[in-house]
Amino acid sequence: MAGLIVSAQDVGYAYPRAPRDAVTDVSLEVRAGAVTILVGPNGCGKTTLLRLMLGVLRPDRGSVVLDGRPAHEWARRAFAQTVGVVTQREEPAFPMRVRDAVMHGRYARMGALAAPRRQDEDAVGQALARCDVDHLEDRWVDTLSGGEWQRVRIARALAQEPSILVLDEPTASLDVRHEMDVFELTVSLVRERGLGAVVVTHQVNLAARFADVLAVMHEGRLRAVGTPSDVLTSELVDAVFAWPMRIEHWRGIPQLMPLRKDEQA
Amino acid sequence: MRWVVLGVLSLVVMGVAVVVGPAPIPVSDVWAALLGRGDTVIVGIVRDLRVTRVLLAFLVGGSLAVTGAALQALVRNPLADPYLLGLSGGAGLGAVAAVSLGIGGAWGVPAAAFAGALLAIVVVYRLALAAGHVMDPRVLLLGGVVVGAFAASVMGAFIALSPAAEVRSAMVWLLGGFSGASWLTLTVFGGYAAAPLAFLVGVSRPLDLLTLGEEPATMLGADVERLKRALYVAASLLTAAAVAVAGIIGFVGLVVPHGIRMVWGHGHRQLIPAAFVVGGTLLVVADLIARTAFAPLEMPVGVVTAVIGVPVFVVLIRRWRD
Repeated sequence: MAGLIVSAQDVGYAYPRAPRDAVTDVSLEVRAGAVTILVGPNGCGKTTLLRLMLGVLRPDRGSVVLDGRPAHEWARRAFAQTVGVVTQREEPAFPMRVRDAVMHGRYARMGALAAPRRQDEDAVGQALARCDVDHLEDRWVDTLSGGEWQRVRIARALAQEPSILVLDEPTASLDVRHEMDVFELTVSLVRERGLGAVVVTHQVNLAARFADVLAVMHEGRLRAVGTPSDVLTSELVDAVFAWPMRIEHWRGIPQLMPLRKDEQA
Repeated sequence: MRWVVLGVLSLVVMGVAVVVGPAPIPVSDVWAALLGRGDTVIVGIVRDLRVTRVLLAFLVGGSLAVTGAALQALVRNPLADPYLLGLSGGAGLGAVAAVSLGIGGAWGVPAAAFAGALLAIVVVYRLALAAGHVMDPRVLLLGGVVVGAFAASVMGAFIALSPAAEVRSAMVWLLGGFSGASWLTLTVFGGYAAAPLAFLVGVSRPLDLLTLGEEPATMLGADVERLKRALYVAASLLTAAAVAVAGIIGFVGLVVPHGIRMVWGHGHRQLIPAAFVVGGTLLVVADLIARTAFAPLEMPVGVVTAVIGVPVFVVLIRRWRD
């Protein structure tokens, strides 16, 4: 199948000593050139599914295949050449400059002790420029704003020259402007380079506006996958989000409006 | 340029350390003795006592500083020190137990200290893995503290129950010194330390990634679980050997990497080799002070490194905040 990059088939996983599965019977395909956004309430299994897809966890049942090989069998170095990930949490223990931080994205493509080559410097320079952080390259990362730091981390993922980009709650603590900024950047990278992208987020309304494929998880299962208009029906919204919502449409795209207690009718 | 300065500085310091000693020997005679010419007694003093002592101090100092730098990345804390992980306690217990039980001597005490340190390594390692199949550096630290405290209390029992003179010699040995340096100890330590040192230099880049956190490091291509275990084993074995040949010498592993981080940054490709050279040079200086300050008496070198290290550390901590 053209453009298929990651394929999860009937995946099930339970954490050791957990009473029930964290993920049950999930099948999901991630394609090149498309933005796949994963939403769902807290504890629905989004993060577990992501860790299965990133080969960090090994599925109990079913399979996750990246480029023809089970994800958990990949060597981390080879995996990092294919998949660039912006993790949810990252706290550098020591200060570093922006350019050095982005150079870490070249680790999987560099020799153990060799100095960065011309192509490494070029890849870093291009990634910095593409994410509009080239003017920050000499700054210490702990002096950046939250939005700048996220752009630097996206630049680092780009420097890996991956064919798929994964962002785990990339806008969790950002204001509206930087939130939009991160989503616009991600979508434009997918459009211009034909990357595949997987974004995990709590922002259902933004997800609906940016997703080519919207996947909704609930209690470890994938409840719906498809275009935002197909997926966000009132039936599904009521079942998944456990709060009364009104569905409005903005240019044909469903947007959820949580109702206050006295507005429920 | 910086490497040239460092290299020249370390060579000059080692040269001075070979020339200066309790027996006053003119520089020209030292030079002749190095080449094997002149009075055989002087040749013996210079070649077999001073040169071995300076080289061993350099190797041990370099090893401790490199170990400190690597452990700081492993536990993601700039205050980590080679002795933080319970090794000093284990080594001390081994040494004191050996002396108390009458199996001291030139090789008995170092061997027992090494065995004690290895035992501490195994216990701390098992503790750090007990919580699951992944190694948690925080548990590693806690395990080190607990094992160190336990070893110290058992050591206290040995001290309380042993004749004073024997215990004193064990305690002085523990405080560190290079009076036992010989071509044999130098060869044994150098041969032993080569592999862990080469390993720590080789993982400079993964160490950089590890300081970002385990999840980002994994996603950037590091095999984090294997890296952590190999780091712990290499660092511990290196420290155990250092304790066995020279006792417990504090602050080199803490202050040296710390200072280089501030001056030279945190990239491990520079930090690790620089720590080796600076740590080695510093310990040569400390040993020179230890054997000349109160000559003919010799101070434990661990006392000298503490006297130098603590004020330096205070200054570094204050600047770290800025």
